[in-house]
Amino acid sequence: MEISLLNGAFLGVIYGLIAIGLVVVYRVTRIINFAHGEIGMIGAFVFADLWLDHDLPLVLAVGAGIAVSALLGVITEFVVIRPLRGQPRLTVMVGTLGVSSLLLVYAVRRYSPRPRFARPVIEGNGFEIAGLLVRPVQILTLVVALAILALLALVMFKSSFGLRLRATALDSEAAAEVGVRVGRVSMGTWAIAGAIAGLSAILVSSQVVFSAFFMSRLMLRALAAALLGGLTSVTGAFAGGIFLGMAEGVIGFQWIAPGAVEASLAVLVMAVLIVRPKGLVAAEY
Amino acid sequence: MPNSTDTRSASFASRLREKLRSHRPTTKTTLQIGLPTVLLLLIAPITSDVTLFKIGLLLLFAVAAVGLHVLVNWAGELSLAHAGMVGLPALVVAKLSSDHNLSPLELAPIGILIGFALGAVVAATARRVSGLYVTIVTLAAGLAIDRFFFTKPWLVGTGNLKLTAPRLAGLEFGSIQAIYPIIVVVFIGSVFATRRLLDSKLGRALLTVRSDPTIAQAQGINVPAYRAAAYMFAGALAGLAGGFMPLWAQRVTPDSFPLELSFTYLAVVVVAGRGSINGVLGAALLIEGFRQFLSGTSFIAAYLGPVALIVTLTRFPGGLNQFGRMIGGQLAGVVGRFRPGRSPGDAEG
Amino acid sequence: MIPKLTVTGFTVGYTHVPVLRGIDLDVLPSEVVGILGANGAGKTTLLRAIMGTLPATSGTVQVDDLDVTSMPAEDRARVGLAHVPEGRRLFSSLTVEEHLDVAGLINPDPAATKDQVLELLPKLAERRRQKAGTLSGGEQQMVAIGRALMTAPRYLLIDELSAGLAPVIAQELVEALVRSRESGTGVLLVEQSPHLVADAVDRVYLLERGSLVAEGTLASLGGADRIADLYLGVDREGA
Ligand SMILES: Nc1ncnc2c1ncn2[C@@H]1O[C@H](COP(=O)(O)OP(=O)(O)OP(=O)(O)O)[C@@H](O)[C@H]1O
Ligand SMILES: [Mg+2]
Repeated sequence: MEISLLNGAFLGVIYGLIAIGLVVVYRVTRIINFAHGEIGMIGAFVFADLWLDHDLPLVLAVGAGIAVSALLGVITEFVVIRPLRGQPRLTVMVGTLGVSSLLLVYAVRRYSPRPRFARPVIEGNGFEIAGLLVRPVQILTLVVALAILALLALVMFKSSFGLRLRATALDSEAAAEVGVRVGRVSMGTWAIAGAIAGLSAILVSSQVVFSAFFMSRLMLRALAAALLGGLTSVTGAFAGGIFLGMAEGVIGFQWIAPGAVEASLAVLVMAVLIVRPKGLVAAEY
Repeated sequence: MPNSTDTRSASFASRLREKLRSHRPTTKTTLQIGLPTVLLLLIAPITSDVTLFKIGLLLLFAVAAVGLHVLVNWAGELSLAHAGMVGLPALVVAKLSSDHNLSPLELAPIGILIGFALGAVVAATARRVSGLYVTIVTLAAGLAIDRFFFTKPWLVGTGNLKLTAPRLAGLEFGSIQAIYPIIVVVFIGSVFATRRLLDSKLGRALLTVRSDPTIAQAQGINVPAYRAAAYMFAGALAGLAGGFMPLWAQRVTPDSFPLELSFTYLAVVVVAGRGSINGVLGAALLIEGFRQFLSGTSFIAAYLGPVALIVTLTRFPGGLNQFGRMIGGQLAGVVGRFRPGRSPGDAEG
Repeated sequence: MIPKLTVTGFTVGYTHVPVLRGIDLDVLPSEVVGILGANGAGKTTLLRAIMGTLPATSGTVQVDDLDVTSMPAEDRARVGLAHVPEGRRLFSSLTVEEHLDVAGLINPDPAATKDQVLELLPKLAERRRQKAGTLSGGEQQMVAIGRALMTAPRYLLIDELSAGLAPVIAQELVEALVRSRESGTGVLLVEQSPHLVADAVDRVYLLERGSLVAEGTLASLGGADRIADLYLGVDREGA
């Protein structure tokens, strides 16, 4: 029982990490970015190519992967978000769906849909916590997630970019009227979210089946995590991810029938939203 | 509280019934229904069975998409569970047919009931929640249907369901050519029934609910009932499409209804845009049609869907319907100034 | 050429029907100019279009000798236009100080301007760390004015300063504004009632159903009472 709870918590770290990126975009653009997973996936593939096939040093490969994802975020903002500014949110979200399937098509054609080998960015024997063998990369993922949270808080509340961003998120028209270049803020936000997506995907790639679909499969849970966390709170999203992962761990332990986890999670999510229609954590700015 | 809701939904149902009864066929509607029916039926003898099969799939796809169109573009709601709402009825009908040696044609209406019931379940949750939170509810529901029901042998069999040959009232429908007219009737019937519904007071009420629920409530429109009705209607049309799927496809597996299909349905109705059903038919042809008819390996076929989606959306955020109104407006402007004071862009509303 | 804010041949509409037609006006530095009009006359629309938040169908806006017609609002703010919008449009969960800081980002000397603003509106200094959403209506209006002033504007566009405020407080704010003109800022002050701005304005324009119908000092137009009766009463009765 404790093992499955702990195991679930580490799964939840993954969901939470991806959810953080969703929230970063949501706060400024007010939409769910359905291409978030695929933007990260391409970065992870570039990373794996450079590191494993072209023997580039780890740090450079990670940097390149993150950079590619950040660039994809910027391109998405430019091609889809900007032209659709002022349109209904659903329209914009379907635009990101288009980007997501475009990137998937690219990955499947370029790399084939088959799973490929992924080496963890740090290896080692791991160690036991309460009877569960925890691998170093799992710890690293947790540390990175916490570091991203801290860094985001710093940027949001201590930098002038953060000030511009928060003003734009609250009222972009009023922000523009005091000289904030809202287009650049939006682009910067998508770059940050893309970078987070790339970094998450690189870390996660060795913890799941590494195919073109690996991030798409995690998207639904990450989305549920973000929504449980109130959508506008990065810490809430991360907490939501861990909550979801632990719930999944316990349910999977109790009931091993296929689909039992998904069915129970669906009921759980519905129940939570019925009791607290705005998510577990209230929105923050 | 439950009592008052019941009487209100009863008045809603009776209004709906009255609306449908008051309909008297005219020459115009006969032509509107007759012409496409004849055209669709004429395709059958001049195409191969493979092509006809794809056309049938496309027609059923469109039926389900029309249901989602009402939900999204008229009621302003959202569902990411649509694939499940098509798939579950399809699998139940297939299973019943295979287990009890029943004709899938006779069982098809059961699909509507199942779809309707699924819509009611989602509607019940959506009552409490709104906006993007409905998205997650429908997403969770879709995921649950996909991973739970679609993995159960008692529902999907152990691989291959052997369907009983379709028959109805003693007639056997042995070939795809013989079944095709049934699919055409289902398609034309649901398109025109929906069109009639949207043209009525009901359609206008839905629009009011979408644009401002508070005003709608003040006008005496029972907002929760209309929202719920939209979900159930979408579910029923999905169930209708799903219910006829075993008849047409002969073999249905959960793989035919992946979770991504829900996104495809959503993309279709957004590309269609607010307004007429014509947009949905165009978008279904554009997105699902290309996927069906172009072989999946060519460069163009692979990228066409997503690229078309992005380009259409960013060029015409109001979808094909907006595009249609624009072209229509320009044509009207060229042909003659029939309606003074109405400029081409006016139609967008 | 005398530096001034010039609007010529301005036509603005939301869909196809123009709300404003052929507006010509100007504001000199240090001048306080009123725009008076009844509900729905188009005052808010005019200010939004001058600021660049709303596109104009035709016409030009010039800030001193710079044509800003094709600039978006964020650039117009940088060349010296500032707007106190209708409904204040504050960033509800930002603090008072953050409002001043974000607007000060385009100001070459934000610290000095901030001192001036806090001197002009001392209430803001007390409320520094309070979130704007929790302030009283009058305090919120002060934040909106302070935020606009922090960009060190050449010309300040103010939409119904008095809306929702007690006359005393509104009067106080108007006086604060009049003091701020010492720095050379020209003010375009939109109001429904001529009485409130009578002491503050140098000139007024009268806006009726989208057109400017008169211009001059209040006295030359027959005084505040006569203007209220003759021009601003019309629409109220018609409505
Ligand atoms: N977003 C909009 N879309 C369509 N029409 C609008 C919009 N905003 C304003 N209008 C119309 O433009 C006209 C002028 O509105 P505006 O807000 O500029 O008036 P105003 O003079 O500021 O009135 P008030 O004193 O009530 O604030 C009105 O008829 C109004 O209905
Ligand atoms: Mg106004």
